[in-house]
Amino acid sequence: MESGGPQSATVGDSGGPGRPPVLPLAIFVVLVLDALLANVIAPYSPYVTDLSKGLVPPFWLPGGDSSHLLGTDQVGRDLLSRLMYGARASLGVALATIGIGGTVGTVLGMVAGYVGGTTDSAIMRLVDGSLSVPVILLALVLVAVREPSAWNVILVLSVVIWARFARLVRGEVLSLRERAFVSLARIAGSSTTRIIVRHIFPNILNTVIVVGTLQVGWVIVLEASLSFLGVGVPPPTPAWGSMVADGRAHMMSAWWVSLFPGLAILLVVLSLNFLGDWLRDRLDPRLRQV
Amino acid sequence: MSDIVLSAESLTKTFHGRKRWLFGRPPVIHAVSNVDLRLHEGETVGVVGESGSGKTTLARLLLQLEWPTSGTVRFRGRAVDELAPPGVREFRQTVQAVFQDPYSSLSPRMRIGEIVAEPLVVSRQLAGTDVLRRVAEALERVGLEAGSAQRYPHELSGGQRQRVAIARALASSPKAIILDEPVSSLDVSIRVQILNLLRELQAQSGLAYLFISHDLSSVRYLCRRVMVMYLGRVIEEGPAAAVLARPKHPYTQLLRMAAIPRWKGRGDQNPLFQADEAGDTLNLPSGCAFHPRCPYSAPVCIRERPVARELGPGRYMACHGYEEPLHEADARHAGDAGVSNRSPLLE
Amino acid sequence: MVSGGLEVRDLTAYLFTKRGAVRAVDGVSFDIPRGKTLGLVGESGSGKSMTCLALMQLLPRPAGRIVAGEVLLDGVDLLKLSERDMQAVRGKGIAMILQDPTSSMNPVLKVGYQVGEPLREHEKLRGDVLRKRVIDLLRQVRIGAPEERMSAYPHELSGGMRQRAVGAAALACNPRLLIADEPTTSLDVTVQMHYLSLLQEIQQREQFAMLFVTHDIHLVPSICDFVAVMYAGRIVEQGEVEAVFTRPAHPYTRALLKAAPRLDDESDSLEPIPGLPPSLIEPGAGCRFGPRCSHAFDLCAGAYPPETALEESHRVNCWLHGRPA
Repeated sequence: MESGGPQSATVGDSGGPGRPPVLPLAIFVVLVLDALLANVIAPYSPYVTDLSKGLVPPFWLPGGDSSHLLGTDQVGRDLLSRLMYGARASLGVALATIGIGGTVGTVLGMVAGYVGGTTDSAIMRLVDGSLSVPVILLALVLVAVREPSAWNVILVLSVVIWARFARLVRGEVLSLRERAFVSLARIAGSSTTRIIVRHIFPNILNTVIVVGTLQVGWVIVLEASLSFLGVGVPPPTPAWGSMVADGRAHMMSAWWVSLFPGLAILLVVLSLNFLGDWLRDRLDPRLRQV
Repeated sequence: MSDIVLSAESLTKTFHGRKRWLFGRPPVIHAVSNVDLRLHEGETVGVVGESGSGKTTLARLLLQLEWPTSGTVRFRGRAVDELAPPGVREFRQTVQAVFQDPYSSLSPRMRIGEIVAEPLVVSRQLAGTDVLRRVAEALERVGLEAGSAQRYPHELSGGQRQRVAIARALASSPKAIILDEPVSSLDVSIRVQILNLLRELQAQSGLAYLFISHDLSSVRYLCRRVMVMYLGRVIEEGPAAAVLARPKHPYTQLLRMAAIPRWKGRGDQNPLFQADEAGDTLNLPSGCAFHPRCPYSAPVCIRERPVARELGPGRYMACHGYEEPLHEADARHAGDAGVSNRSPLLE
Repeated sequence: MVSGGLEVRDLTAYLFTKRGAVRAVDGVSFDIPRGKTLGLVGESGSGKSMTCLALMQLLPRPAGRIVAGEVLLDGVDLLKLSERDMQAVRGKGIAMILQDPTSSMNPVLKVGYQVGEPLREHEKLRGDVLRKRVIDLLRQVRIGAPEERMSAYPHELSGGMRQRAVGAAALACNPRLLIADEPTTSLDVTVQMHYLSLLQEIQQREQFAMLFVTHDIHLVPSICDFVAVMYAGRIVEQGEVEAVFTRPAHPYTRALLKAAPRLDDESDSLEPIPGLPPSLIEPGAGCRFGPRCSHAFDLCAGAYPPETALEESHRVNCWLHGRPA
């Protein structure tokens, strides 16, 4: 006769779609602040080396000291500072990639979905092409041809990201196109451009935002992978991926060099995924309460 | 006779479905077949039909949302596919539409004011504060407060949204509005409000309406003339009051019978009642499309498609039996199949 | 009261939301004898669909809950049954038909399979016996060539045929109560006519009780013996169809009767019902139709009018009829 009480909460759940999940949001905020203020709050410069202080363990282990809270890497650079500065590379690359790839993908997706016909086929073939490209391979090739740089990373990742946006946006637009208000806009005399800009775009914005948020984590992982392989953001700029690579040789003895950057990647990506899920639940109008 | 705003000649639209197997022919759907139509200024014409009648496709053809397979749509006498951009703009300004679903008719992310202003902005009729003024006027004409221009569609009820849709249709001061089932999705009590509004607006502005509906009563309430469609063709046409009160075509008679509520257990003797279920435009019967369901069908009905004949001034019907007295007798039957439920307590 | 049939007493179901408890069904009582049909009439938000869900105990979870009342089917209080026992009742003792035949059927399963599902579940029929029953059911609902149609998919049938197939599935296990929630709303008017006559014919034969829910009051006399008019979660008037339609007592009933344009009615102007229905969260103490009622007077806002019996089984909740001594 009675139905159950409120559903039990799960990790990352908020109290209903109203409030964002607190911990992930906090982590994200910390990340952004860190990236912006790294030069102010980091205890050391991430570039200064001190070979006499190589591989100092974190302060709670024997041999550690409180001047280097998380220890140092093999050339004596403070790990904590490098971690903090590394956020800039990760976040910077991710945002630039999502920005460029997302914009290109959204525009092409809308055009493909609304205009249809041969334009649609052409764009979708491009999408298929992009999605079949092995990212790592492309990065390696690019590095062989040009010098490694942050912009090369952004370029390579954008090539893959745009296609994901395009496909999703096109799908949404296909169903949106059939809605009465679009026909009525045509009846009012609106041009195709106007319809895409004023009617289609605002209604897919939610999808784009959610996809964007969920992709940031993926891009960070990709960037880290590229840096790990040496084809990402070039040294000496601190990047979490290359920091993990640096510590490979010392995994057994000085595990902290690889572990902390790895943990940083994990935490950030997890938080972004939780936030993205929350955002999706929040912005999906079907879940809006009456 | 006043000017003709919108007309159609021999309008035909066929769709091709998907092939069922690789070497077969794709199925052909005859959505609209050879429809003629003339909408004069200030005239209210109803188009009645059930699903498959082609009435919505007809609306889309007239509104240039689809291209006809053959036949012509004319705007003030000029063929629409020959219009240059200024002509197209004039067409869009003059012929507007209101559709059935209030929930998908308004762009969810635009404010009401912007939605109503769109036809004006697009046609560059007015600019700046003039647009705002016209929007406020339009909203007030349909019974909404001018302040609702700031709101979003999801804040309004179904009936209010439909009023917004009407306001938008009125914004560019059109001469004709095509309404496709504008009240079918609304609650009964709201329906009347909107029908009354439409009536008032028509009386005030001399608008022409093409009112498409499956509901005979709404059509009779709003329209002077009516066209009855069945499987893509017009099978009866004439003054709304006459056609709907004393229909001549068996299909129209069937529609009327179905539309008038009867008391439980009575009124099943009419031979029309035995008429089988609807046909579909995929497998059009030969000859007269209605013959498989028609209790009066004769061999000629299976062989030959009936042509529209004039029964009286402005009254047409496409049926081989138009001379037969049988129809008159049954038209009388169909007329009193319902029992009046007017209580003495009602004014 | 003849034994058998449905007796509902003070059924109350609320939807508990963050903004408060929505009193979707607020003390609803009616009877439906075997072989008879009750028309439940109301607009959207009146609570008529929620009433159906409450009867089946299929309220949306977790917000919906039955708060009080009794639902007696042939003497057994359904609200006291365990979920397991209730599952045995659904589809067998009580069957339900919904408004939209397209979403009532699974598009990837054949029609014959779906019509046979209640038989498979409740009567454990299989194989050839099941097949024969399904063909017979399809024939009963006047679907031609049932042997072929059985193997068809829902989208290959017309809307009317789909709705009849849904009806066949509902009637498969000879239910004692059939709840039809706006079954003809999405059908063409000529199809509707046939469908209603079909329902009546089957009901005459099988003698089940039927609850026919609709927003179109004018459908009621053609298929119902009794009618109950719902507004804002409560029944405001009920009785035999003849009584309520020729002597409507509640202003809302009268307004509904006048609100739709009628083909055989020569009067040329219609009177809409002004205003909007009230919020069901805080409906207030007085008559819920009061704010929109042209006959409202001082008593109406103060207290909810009690039930007044006008004649044999014709009851109304309205201060116009039940003035205290």
